[in-house]
Amino acid sequence: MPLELLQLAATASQTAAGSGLPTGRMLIWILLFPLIGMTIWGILGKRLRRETVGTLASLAIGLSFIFSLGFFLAMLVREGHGAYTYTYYTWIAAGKWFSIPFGLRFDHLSAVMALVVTGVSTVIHIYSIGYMRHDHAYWRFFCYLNLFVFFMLMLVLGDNLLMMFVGWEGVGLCSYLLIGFWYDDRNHPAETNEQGTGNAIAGKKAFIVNRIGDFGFVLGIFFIFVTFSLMTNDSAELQKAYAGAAKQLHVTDVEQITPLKFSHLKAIIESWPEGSHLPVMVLTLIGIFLFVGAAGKSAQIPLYVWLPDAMAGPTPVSALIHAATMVTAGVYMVARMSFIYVEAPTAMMVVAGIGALTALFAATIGLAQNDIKKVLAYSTVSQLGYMFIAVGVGAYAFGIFHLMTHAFFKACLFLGSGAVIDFMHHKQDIRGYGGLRKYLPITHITWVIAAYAIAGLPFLSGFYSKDAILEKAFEFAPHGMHWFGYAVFGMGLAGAILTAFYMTRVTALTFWGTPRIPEEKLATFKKPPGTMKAALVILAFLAIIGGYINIPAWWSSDHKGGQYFVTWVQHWTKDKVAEERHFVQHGGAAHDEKAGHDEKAGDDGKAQNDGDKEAAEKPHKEGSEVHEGMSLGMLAFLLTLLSVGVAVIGVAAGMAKYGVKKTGAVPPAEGEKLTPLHAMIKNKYWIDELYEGTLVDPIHAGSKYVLWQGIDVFIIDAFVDGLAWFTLRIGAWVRRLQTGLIPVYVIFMVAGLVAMLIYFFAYGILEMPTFFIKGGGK
Amino acid sequence: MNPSGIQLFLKQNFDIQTVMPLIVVAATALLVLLLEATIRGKSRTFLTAVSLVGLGVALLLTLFNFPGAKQSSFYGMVRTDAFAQFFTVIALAAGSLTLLLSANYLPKIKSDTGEFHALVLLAVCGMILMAIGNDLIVLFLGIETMSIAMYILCGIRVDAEKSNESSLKYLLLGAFASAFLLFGIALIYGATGTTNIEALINSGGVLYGISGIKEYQWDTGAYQFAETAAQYFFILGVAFVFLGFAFKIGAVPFHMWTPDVYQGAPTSVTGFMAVGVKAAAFAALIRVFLGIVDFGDLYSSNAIAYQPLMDLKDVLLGVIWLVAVLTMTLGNLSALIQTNLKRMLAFSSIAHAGYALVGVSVALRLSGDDRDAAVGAVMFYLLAYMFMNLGAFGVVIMMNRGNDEGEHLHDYNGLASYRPLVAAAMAVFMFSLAGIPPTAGFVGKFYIFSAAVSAGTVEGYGLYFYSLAIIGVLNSIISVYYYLYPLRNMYFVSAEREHKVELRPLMSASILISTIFVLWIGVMPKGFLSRALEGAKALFFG
Amino acid sequence: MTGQYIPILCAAVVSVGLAAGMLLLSRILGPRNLTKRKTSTYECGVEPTGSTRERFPIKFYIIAMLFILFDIEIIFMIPWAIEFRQLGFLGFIEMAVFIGVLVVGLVYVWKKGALEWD
Repeated sequence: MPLELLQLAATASQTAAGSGLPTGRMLIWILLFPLIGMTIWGILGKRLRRETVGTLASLAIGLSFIFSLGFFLAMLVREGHGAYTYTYYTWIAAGKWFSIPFGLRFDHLSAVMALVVTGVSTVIHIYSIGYMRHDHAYWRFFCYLNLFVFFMLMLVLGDNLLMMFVGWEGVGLCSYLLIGFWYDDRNHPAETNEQGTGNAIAGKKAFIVNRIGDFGFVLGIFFIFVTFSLMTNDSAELQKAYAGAAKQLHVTDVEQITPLKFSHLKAIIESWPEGSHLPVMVLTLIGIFLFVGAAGKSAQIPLYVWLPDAMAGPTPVSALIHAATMVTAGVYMVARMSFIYVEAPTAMMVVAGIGALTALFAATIGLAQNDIKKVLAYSTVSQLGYMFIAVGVGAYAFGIFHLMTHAFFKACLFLGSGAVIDFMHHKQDIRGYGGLRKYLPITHITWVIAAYAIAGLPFLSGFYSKDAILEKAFEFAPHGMHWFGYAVFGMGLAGAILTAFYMTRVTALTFWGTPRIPEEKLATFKKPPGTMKAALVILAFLAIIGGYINIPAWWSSDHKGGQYFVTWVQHWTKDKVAEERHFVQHGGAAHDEKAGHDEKAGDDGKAQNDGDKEAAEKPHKEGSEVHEGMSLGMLAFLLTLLSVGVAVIGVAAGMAKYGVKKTGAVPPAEGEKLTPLHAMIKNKYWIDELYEGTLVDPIHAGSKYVLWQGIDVFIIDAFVDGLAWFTLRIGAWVRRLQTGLIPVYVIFMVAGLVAMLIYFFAYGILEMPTFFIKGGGK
Repeated sequence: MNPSGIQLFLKQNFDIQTVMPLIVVAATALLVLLLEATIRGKSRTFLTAVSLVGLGVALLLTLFNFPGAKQSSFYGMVRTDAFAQFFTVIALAAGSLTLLLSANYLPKIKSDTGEFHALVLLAVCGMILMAIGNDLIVLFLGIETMSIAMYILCGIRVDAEKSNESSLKYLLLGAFASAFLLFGIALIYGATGTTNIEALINSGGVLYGISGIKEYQWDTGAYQFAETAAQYFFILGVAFVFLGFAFKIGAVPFHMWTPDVYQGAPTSVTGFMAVGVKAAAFAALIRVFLGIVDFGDLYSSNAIAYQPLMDLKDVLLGVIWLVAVLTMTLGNLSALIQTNLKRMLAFSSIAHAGYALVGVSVALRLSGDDRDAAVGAVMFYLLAYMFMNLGAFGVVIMMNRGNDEGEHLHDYNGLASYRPLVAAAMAVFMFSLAGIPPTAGFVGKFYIFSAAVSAGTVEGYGLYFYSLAIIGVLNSIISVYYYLYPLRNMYFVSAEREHKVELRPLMSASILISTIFVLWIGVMPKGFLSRALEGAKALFFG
Repeated sequence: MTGQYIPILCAAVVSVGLAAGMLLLSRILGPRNLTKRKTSTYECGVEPTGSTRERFPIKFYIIAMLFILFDIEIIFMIPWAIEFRQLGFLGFIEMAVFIGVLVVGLVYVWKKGALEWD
């Protein structure tokens, strides 16, 4: 299939110019707008008017969005929906086998990501015009934000691992800069210590925790190169695979194949010679290392601790970077490298397992948080867990689907919380809110829509994506272990109940009931400006309709199953679950076809395999006995019912405890006695303290007392200082020779001449070897 | 004689075209002198303009209408090859930038004399002569033309004691060095019967006993080719000539004059001396020394049954090795403790001559493409050095507040806060001088040290050249300290008071040009390097 | 080795040695009986009137230098004049350029007032 795709891409790009479609060369413009914007704000921003900076920054991202949309539409109308790729120049080259192009790849997967990134970014930029209106460093904010979008697009559109890595580090940098945006914040003196203000510390924490993940990512890249480059591995299989890949990619010479380029690596793995096994152990290792990187960036256990602290940044930043885009980069990366994961079931197990654990674990913490942004932060961690469940069980397209819907509703929630915080004069504690629906009607409506979407209530986008993920998890059976799939499913389901519950809780405590601060005071507070409202409405609208591009298979009337989105993304991702189901289907599972709407049973999910005939024809190792005797359609339907059920239960429980009437059910204030369980959850299982005690403090102490005060001060510094002192002494001595007296100068010249002559003649007459030279030129 | 005959004669023997840039510059110098004397009360800017036009025409002629190839003319006295072209360009560019820098500076130090322009032009003439000279006499002529102009330029501030001192010291010591140089030339002539460099190289055999003198050997009773005194004369001559050039490039231990002279001279002249004189002296040094040491090779290929007195290459190698090491180290160590920026730059220019000498010493032992690369690296370095050093001096000039004020390091405190662009330009120059990418200085050093490392692979010379590269790199590290010191003052120390820094157009243009070139060469060195390599290739005969 | 130069070396050594030896001997052997008259400057029998180290106006030097410059011009011109026919037109041009340069110098000197005594 990729073969045809590439062929089509080649022919399409040739004809593109004639047919009025954009050419791949223009892809760079998607990246250039934010970069140009960032440069301008960085240099001139201080001198421009606030409105100018904000509007033009939004416009820059808007133009990126329009370009992305243009390319997406061009792909749609293009024959075969071929991807747009373009290699601009060789970025790094070293020797014959190492050459990294600077190339962009706008394919089915990155198209989705680019649209989400630029689209949501545009909305959030517009929102920020209002939100940051009082900030003195307005220009700096938009400069960082534009820079972030640039790096994010580089991460998404780069056609090789190294470009992705540059983008990866770049977004990390911007995240750091923006978390600590209010670095001189004095609002939280308690958190300020000798290492900086609370915000600065939060930025640092995010940066350092991400480094741990990046270490894994880099190791993964190294392993990929070492395993799949002919430079380091010239085994017969790899050479055959290269030959096959060259054929598939239509390149004349295997030297043009770069294993760090996504399409090339994929071709190499797909062209692995028949009859010889892929190095599964190494692939598993690669998969796990890459996932360590993903876990750092996407805040999964055990590296999630930075994300809640990252809420110290301005709220638009939380919405854009720490909910909608950057933190999903890990999911995108795993989906991008799906061709490796499908060959390494153990690595998939790790991904799915960690994802499920995170989904449940973070949801429990979310239950007892009182800071509105912290609740959303843990909810983000939890939802990212769902995405990793999806990519872990091999349903990559569904992971990306949830990524997209999550970007909509979570951005909407964060922006809503921003509106509330802005209204409440930067108070973030939900115990101080209540009854705000009266004052912030639009925020309230959009919030409720988004909250229900995340809770998974039907007809909203979150429902479609989360439901599908749980369904795929249920069918997951790595190495034939069904219990694993069921366990993941169970944890996901439990997380879903909790999600519905805490979202209802935070909604009720914020918007419903009666205000917990005097109404006359509330009445004097300023309402958010129009730009903020506009952004909320756009996102809420997307949170409603976002799910309809991929309705469950059993809903639809035709065999396509309405799964437009997933089919689209599966052009790149190799969907393992799809394969299994396909096999099951051919293995004799009953067809239970009833066309209809809503609660009627539908198609059997054949749609997933639309793009993957080739893979389906290969016999598969496991999964042939899955769910025999039961219609897949029926199963899917039952699972859907189950997830709707838990969502409703969660919401109902939340209503029961915190609902409209129960204005008294405010969480206990600081210092009040809590039940042990409550205390444990509220203190986030003391994980931060655990890390502090077991990792951070020992390392800190070791660095301080051994490395710094021991080795650095006593050995290195002493050596360097001594050297510097010595050098300066010599310098002073040399200066004393510089007397300014001509005779002295002449004497030195003559002395030099005499020395030179002595050397000449000593060498010539006595055949005295010049020092160092062994056996001279004679 | 009929006209066509004249033309033919001219073409054959006095190809005027080959020295056209030189003639243009010399004519401009005379014109400026006349104008200065006859037109009174006119703005000096007019003279600057005339001079710049002259230099510009010469530059265009050099760049686009240079004979190229390996053309000798004037009976082999000058050789206008790509090597000469490269150094002619350096001389012309250095002269132009100096004039731009001086336009606003001279009134400030109350030395606004019209002769300044003529003298700079004449010095440029001398430099061009050194670049194209293919005869020791022409080289001497070039050195003297250049030096005498420089002596006067150093003392152009007639009312400043330091300037007078500078001029006098330079004159006395320069005369001393010139005497040695001339004596050396005489000795070489005595030994070989020629002063033409090409002929010198081809007459290797003469030196090694083909003079025909056979000597009766008392012990064996046979006549053999004598180890003639000519050889001693020649070696003595080589040493003296080396002294003459080493003085001009300020190599240790012939460098002692530099700090005093550089500090006393007007700053723009100091910059001109540091880049122009040095580059010209290197041109002559390379042309003479890399050529004549090929005697050894000639000897062996001629298969004369005679043992040469010594392998001149190895001896010179040893000398230049030591001189390069001393020059780099002493220059850097002395610069380290200076508190006056101008004096610091003066000392650092010694160190830079040392880096370039590394390339020369490396080129002595290499052959073929490797040697071209080493020589090309030196040429490239000198080009880069011209822009970064003149740029740095330009900023010093800009900061000058009449007399010698504004040159101290603390005068730069907080410059970045009130003159960010000037500070940024200075930062670029300092980074480049320290050899930090992506600036010209980094690329230059990189080529030189990589040439040293590649020479280290020559059998038996590993320790020799690796140590040279390592010492060079260590020196670069030392230099980072004092180059970053002004940056620290500019960016991290707040200003006690803001000094008046005037951004005059010509001066700013000069600094801007320097900045652009430093970055351009640093980012895209390929074009410049290929021109330098072309020059290096053209240098070697046969 | 360098046999043929040994006589020259001998001659050099003998001549330097002779001169140095005579000076040295007279210094060692000669009686030293200094009087004021003996040490004073000899000015053709006339009483010295002051220190010999007197400062002269710089004009003297300038005039002297200019004289030498233009004097040397003649040194170049005489051989040229003698060989004028052989050197031909080219020689004429060359000499014209040479003199032209000197004329420029003369104009400069003149305009600068270096030729005026006061």
